[in-house]
Amino acid sequence: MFPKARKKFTIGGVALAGALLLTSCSSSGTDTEASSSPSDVSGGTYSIAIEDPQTIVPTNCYELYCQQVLSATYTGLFTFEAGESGAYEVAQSELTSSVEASDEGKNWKITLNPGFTFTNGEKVTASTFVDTWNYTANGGNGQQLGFVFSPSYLNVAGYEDVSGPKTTGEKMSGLAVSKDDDLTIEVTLEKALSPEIFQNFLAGPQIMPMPTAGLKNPKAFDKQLIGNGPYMMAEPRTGQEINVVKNPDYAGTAGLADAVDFRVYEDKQTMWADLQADNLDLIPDLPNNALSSASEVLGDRYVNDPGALSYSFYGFASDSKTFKEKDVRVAISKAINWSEINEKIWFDTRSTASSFAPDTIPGGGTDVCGDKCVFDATAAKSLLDGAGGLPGGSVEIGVIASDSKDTQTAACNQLQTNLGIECSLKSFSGFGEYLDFLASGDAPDNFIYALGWVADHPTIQSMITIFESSNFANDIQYSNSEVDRLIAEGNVATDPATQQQKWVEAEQLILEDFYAYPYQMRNTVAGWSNRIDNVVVNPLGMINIPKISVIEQG
Amino acid sequence: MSRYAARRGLQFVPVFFGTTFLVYFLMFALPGDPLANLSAGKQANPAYLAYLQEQFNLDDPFFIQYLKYLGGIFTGDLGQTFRGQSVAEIFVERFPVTLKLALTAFVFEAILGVGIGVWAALRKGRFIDNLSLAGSLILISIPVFVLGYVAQWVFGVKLGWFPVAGISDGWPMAYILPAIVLAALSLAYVLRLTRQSLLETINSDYVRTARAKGLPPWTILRKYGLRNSLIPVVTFLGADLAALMGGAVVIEGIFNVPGIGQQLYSSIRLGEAVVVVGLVTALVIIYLVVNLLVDLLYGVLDPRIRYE
Repeated sequence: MFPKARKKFTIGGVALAGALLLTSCSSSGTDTEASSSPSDVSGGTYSIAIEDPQTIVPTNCYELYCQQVLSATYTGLFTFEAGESGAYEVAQSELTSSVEASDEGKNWKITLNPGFTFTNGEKVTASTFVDTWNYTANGGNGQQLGFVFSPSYLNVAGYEDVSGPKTTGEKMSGLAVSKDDDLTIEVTLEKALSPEIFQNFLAGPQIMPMPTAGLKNPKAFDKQLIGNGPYMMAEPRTGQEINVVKNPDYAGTAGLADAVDFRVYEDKQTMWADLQADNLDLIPDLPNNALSSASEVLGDRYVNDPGALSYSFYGFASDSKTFKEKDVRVAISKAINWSEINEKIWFDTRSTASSFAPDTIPGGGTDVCGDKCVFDATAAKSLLDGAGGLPGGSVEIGVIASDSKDTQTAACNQLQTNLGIECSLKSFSGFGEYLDFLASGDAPDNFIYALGWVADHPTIQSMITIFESSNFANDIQYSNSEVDRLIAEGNVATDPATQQQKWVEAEQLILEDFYAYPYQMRNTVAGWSNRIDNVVVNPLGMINIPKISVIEQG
Repeated sequence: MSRYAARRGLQFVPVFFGTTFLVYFLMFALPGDPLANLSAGKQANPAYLAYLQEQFNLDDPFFIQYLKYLGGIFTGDLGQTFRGQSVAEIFVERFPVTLKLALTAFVFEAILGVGIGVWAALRKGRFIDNLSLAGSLILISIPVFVLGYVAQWVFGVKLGWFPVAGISDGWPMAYILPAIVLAALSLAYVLRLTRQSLLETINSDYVRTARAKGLPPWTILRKYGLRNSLIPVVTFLGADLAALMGGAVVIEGIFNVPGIGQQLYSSIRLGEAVVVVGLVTALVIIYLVVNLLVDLLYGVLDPRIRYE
C-alpha cells in the first residue's frame, strides 16, 4: 500500500453557529502529470469502484460486480478478446491448450496446460472442472450458474439427473476426465453445438474452476476466495473492500500492478465524487450524475464507446388488440426522437439502435431495422392514420421509477405531440415488482413493455435469445417458430459466416414482425484517474485488470 | 429504582414482538418477488430459484414465515442474507461502525449544541444570539441529503480536507464529515432548546436571589442555571443518540460508510426480510435501553425526581 495523496488539515477550533471552521489547509502537492505514457510499468496499487456483489463465489456469480473480482482472481477456459475487425470474440485462455470436437459437435475434449495451481497449492486439472461443474449443476446446491449446463444452453448429458431440488444424482453422465490424461475434460452434449457457441457458453468469468476447499465450504470461500488467477485475496473481504495482491506463483502472464483494491459503494453517486477527489482510480460504469461533466473533467481519461452488449426495447404483447396493426407499432417507433433523448437526457452516453446487435459482436452492426427505427414525425402520423388510428386512443408505458423515468416521460410526451394520442406511465418501484406485474397478466391491452436486455457473451445469439419462444425472460410472449429454428440452426453451424447469417436472418424476422424493437443501445462509459494507464473496458463491461499499470506510484 | 428499571425492562417484551411482527409484515407486503431482483432480469436458473425459495420459506404464507423466523430467533438463528451471510455476523461487523459514527455525531451535537446554546442565551439579543438562531434555522430547513452532498463536494472534493467516502482512513478522519452532517439537524434543535430553557431559568427568582447574594456568575450558571435547564436537553439528547444510529441510512449511503444503515438500505431494496427485521429490532431495543438510561439520569440532575 502506498500513501494516499490527500491534503492535510488541522482543526483551528472556532465554532460559529454550528459550522466548524477549518483552517490551515496545506496541499501536499502530488498532482504532477505523468510525462511519458509508460503503459507497462509494473508495481503500485490502484482501486476500482464496484457495487456490492451479492456473492463472490464463482459458481454463484451472475452479475458484473463479482465478475470483475473473479476476472482478477481466476483464469477460466476461455476469454473474450478484440479480434481484427474490432469485434470481440471468444478465445482460449492461457490455461487452455486445445479444444477438439467430434461427432459433429456433440462430444468435446478440452485439454488444459499443466502448471496452473490454486493459491492453496491444489493443482488445476480436468477433475477440478468436472467437480466444479457437477457442483454447479446440482439443484441441491442452489448455484445461480447451474443453468449453463441446462438444455437451453450447453445441454450436457445427464443434467436432468442432478438439477432438480429433489434429484439425488451427484454427477452428470456427460462429464468425465480422460482416461489417458488427467488434464483433458471430456464433455458429452445431448445436442450438437458449434465451436463458437460451445466456447462462448464456457467463457468469460462465468465458469471458473473451484478448488476442493471451496466446494466443501462455500461460505468461507465467499469471504476469501482461493483462486488460480493473476491476483489473489490475501485477506478476507470486508463490507467495503475486496483487496487482491499479485499471485506470486501464477503460471500465466502476471498482472502489472502489485495490488488491486475493489471498493464497494452503496450509493453510485459517491463514486464520482471519490474519483474527482483522487481517492479512487477507476469507475468501469460511470453513474448518471457524472455523465454531463465527465468528458470535460476527465479529458482523455474517459471513454464513451457505443457498442456495449445491452439494449433497451419496446415490446408489444402479441395478443394485444391496440397494437394489432403492424403500422400502429411502426408509427410508435417512428414518432419518438431517440437521438434527441439520448443527447438531452443521457448526454450521448447512449446510442440510437438500428439492430439488436452492435458492431462489437462478430456479424453485428448491420442496419436491420432500417426505416422503421428512424424518427420521422410526419411519416409516423400518416402511418397511424392509414391504419385507422390507435384503437382506444391511449397507450401506457411501464417504467421503473428509479431507473428511466426521465427517458420514458420524454418518449411519452413525444408520442402525445407527434401522434396526437394519450400516453401515460405506469411506475414500478423495482425490477421485482415490474416482473411480477408482467407475469400476473394484468397488463392492460394498450401496455407497452419497456425493458432492457444484457447479453452474456458477444454473439448475436446472446442478444436475441430473449425472443425465443422458450426463453424464460420472453415477457411479451413473442413466438415465431421460424425465429426459433434460425437461432437453433445458427447454434450448430460450424462455419462462422453461415452461423452469423442465420442469426441475422432471425433478427430480421423479429424486426419484420415488429412486436419488439430496440430503441436505445448502451455505450461503454468509464472514467479513471491520472494515476493509471492502459485501461480497456470491453463491451460486456469487464476491465482488463491485469494489464492496467500504475504510472504514478505515490 | 431497580423495581422501576425492571418494570421498564418488561415493556421490552411486547415491543420486541410488535416490532418484529410489524416490520416482517411490511417487508412481506412489499411488491415484487425479491428473487427477481437477484438475477437482475437475466434468465434465472429455476433450480436456483427453487433452492432459495426453500431456504427462505418464501413459498409459505405470511404467518408461517413469521413463526419460522421467530422459531429461528429463539434457537439463536437470526437468519441470513440471500448470499448466506448471517445477520449476527452482519451486526458484529457493522454495528461498531454505526456506533462510532453516531457517537461522533453525538459529541458534536452535545458539545456544540449546548455550548452555543448557552453562549447565545447569555448574550441574548446580541450578534451571536441572532447568528445562532439564523444558522440553526438554515440547518433545520435544509434536507439532510442536500447537506450531505454539498459538504462532500466542498470539503471532500474541492478542498480535500476530508476523505470523500469510505472509512479506510479510520477514526476520526473518515468519520468527521459524515458525523457533522448527521449531527447538523439535531444540533440545531439542541442549540435552540438549550437557549430557550436556560433563558427561562436565569430569569427565575432563585437565580435572581443567588445573584443578589453576590455569588460569582460562573457558579450561578453551573449550580442554578444549567442544572435546572438541562433536563429537557438531556431528554432530547438521549432519544436522539438512538435516532442517530437508525437515521444514518442516508448519510451512510452518501459517504459510503459500511454501517447498519447501509445494510438496511440494500436489504430493503433486495427484500431480505429477515435482515431488515433483525437490524430494525436491534435498533429499537437500543433505543429503549438508551431511553431507560436517560430516565434514570433525571434523578442525578434533579434529586426531587423519584422512581416508583
